[in-house]
Amino acid sequence: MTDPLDPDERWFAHLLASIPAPASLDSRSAATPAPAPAAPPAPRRRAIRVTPLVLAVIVAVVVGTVGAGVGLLLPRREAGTPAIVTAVVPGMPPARTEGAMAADPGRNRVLLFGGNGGGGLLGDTWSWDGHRWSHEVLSSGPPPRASATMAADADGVLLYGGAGPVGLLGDTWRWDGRAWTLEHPRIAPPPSAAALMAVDPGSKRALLVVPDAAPAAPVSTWGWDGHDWVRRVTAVAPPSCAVAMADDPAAARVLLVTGRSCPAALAGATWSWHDGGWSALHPAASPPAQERPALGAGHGRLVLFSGEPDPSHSCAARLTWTWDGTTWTSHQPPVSPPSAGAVATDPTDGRLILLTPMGETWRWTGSTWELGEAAAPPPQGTPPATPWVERTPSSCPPARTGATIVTDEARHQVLLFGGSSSVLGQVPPVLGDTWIWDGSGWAERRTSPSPPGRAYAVAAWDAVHGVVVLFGGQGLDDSGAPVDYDATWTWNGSAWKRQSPKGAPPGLRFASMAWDPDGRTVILVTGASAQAAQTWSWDGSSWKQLHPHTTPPVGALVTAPGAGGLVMVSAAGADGQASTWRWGGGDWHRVAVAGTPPLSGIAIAYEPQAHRVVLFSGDCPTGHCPNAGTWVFDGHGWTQVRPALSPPARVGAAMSADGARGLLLFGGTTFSTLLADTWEWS
Amino acid sequence: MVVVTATAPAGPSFEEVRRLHAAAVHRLCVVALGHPAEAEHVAARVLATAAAAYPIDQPGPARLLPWLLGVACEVIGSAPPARRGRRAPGAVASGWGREVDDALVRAAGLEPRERLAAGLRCAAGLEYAEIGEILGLQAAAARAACAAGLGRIRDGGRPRR
Repeated sequence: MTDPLDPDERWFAHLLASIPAPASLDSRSAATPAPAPAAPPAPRRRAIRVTPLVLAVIVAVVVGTVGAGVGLLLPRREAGTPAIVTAVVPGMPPARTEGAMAADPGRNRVLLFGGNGGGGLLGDTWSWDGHRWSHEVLSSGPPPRASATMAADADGVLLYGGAGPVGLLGDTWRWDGRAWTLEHPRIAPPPSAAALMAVDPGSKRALLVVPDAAPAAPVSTWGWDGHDWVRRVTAVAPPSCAVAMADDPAAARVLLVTGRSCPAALAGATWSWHDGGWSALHPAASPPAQERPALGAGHGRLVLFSGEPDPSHSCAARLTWTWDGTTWTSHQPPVSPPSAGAVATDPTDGRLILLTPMGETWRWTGSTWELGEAAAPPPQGTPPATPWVERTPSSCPPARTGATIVTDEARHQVLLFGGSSSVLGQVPPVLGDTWIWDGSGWAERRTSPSPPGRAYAVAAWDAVHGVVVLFGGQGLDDSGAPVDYDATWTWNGSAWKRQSPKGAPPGLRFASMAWDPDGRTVILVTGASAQAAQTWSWDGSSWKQLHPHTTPPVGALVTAPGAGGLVMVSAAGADGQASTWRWGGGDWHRVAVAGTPPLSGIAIAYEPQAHRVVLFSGDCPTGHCPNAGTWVFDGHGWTQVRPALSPPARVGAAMSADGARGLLLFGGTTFSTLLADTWEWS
Repeated sequence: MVVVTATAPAGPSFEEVRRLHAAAVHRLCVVALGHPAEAEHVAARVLATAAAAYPIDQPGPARLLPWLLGVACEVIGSAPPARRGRRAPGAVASGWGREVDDALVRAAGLEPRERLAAGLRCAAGLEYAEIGEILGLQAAAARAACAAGLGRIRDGGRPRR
């Protein structure tokens, strides 16, 4: 995209992105409207023409074929007709959420079915042979759905329920390795998209729990006898806020955990199914209640993984616990999947595999996670390694977006200040805390005085005076009203000091600041809008407005001694194109470069070891951003790199050089979750 | 069981188009119509219409999304006036959150061109030139319409940056 979204567009795009697409839109329309002989509407002047057929169809659809939902109905296949595999095509499953996955030990495979593919529901079948995924191309099978549940018993893999295009489903299907067959039990459990299935080690048959609408109400428990579902009446049962269930290889029983939506007394509980009954367990420690964790067996133990922030440990955005049959143990693996997804035990080696919503396949080795197969292999010519690594420090700043980050080069530290604690990046609320990253961990520095809390301030390292300079930002005045600050502060490694220069740049909404290695001053570009930029310099005691002949739109400034000096990546200019600029001789010079990275919600920093600028763009509210991700600039051109592992998409992350180690990226927001994770790039 | 080698199709099937872009069509309909049920209904009609026209128009991968949204704008423009952004403030709670509701109410008060420009821009990420082609405007005018629409939508609820 050559017109990046501006902040207001991005805000509205994120609002719209929060609206779920109706499942009905996924339907493969059985009744494609036929052209009608009605007169088309009056033509408009447009370059993108629709054909007369389109116009006729529009009239037919809008005027004639009312009947809401006529085009929404799925084609109905004959019940019981087996769906035969017609081809097995190696490839990668498309990205999805809420897919169903289960081991198929009889065929030494893992089976994946359906899910929500973003644009709509999926009804595809995939298998994992221990090394790669293959698409089982079928002539028919279960209708598309999300949130089905699956487990394997002696006769194959059983699939139950889910959410289809026209509502909840309560159908039961069996996969025998070649085909799906619709089962016809005499009694069917109620339709559900929150049911959980596992194999009962006692009976070797599938065990199904179906939740009630009320979170605290007990689930109904069902057993599959090979032909029918049989209701299992028990004295007690887990609450309906159960979120994960799996057969426990260590204790030969089924384990169930409850989630965050439970009443407090029931949340995060562990239940066990054994000898035909449920019992609540009381382990000494338990994972915190999660919204949607993944639970499955690997290396003889149950593994629980969640990609949600851990409320008890704010640094780790992801958590891994294992269950040895009696106790839960927390793990801090050096690398974790970016988010939870469907899990199953790989019958070929007994390891747990996890398929993330982005299509990455991860394995649990028993002590850490490793990436098995990425959704898209890196193209030739780009680094195949995983330069992004998530760090798991013992403490960290609270989650935030719009924080200010800068490298204190004299002390080889990274300074992080303030930010917004709103998931939408709003002001207020703002933060005013100061944190230091020393290469291995975060530590808060409480000093007085300290700049008032603010978000979106800018900062730069002043190499002549050996201090960090902080300017501007948005916070609150004494009356609590939002204000754009115009004060200048410096940080000497141990204390903040407010400077009192003669005159100062106005506190404006758009700003960026960096050290100019050639002119040996701090350069600030600021404006009330991106197009109305002013250029200022700071000499350690006073501000001076500069008057370059050319003024690019306010962009992201970065000090890049090995890639052009002081570089600014600007948002769309008058010609509508993103542009790269270099500061020199008192003027801005446009650099003709190859490649154009997206500029929405970016984080940018200079990697001195590699003499290049690294840009992370994780903002994709429209779902149509093939260029999002990590880009590098070597002074001549921008190149998109495709590491196997990247920080999850986000806006408002803070990124800076991290001494000799590379780059540091912290926090940001996904617009649904505020982040506090720390990543390193090297 | 037959093992075959995957070959690249000449172009995506319409099912693939639907899978990729149905959500964007729905978001555009939400902005244009305001009412959740109407948006879902009209989005389904857009997809049905486009499915019929797809084999004939053959828009090609690069022009796929602008073409589909052009069809969407036609369908939306042909919808009865009662279904075009006439949502009474506070009349319908979408269930998508108050901020979304407030924004949709404000969008309903826009001129249709501004509403569609904002929708095409923010629901689907189209470029101004593409929006201009769909709405019969120059790119600069499309940018202005989008900015004017967003300026009113954001009142009272936008983040500071």
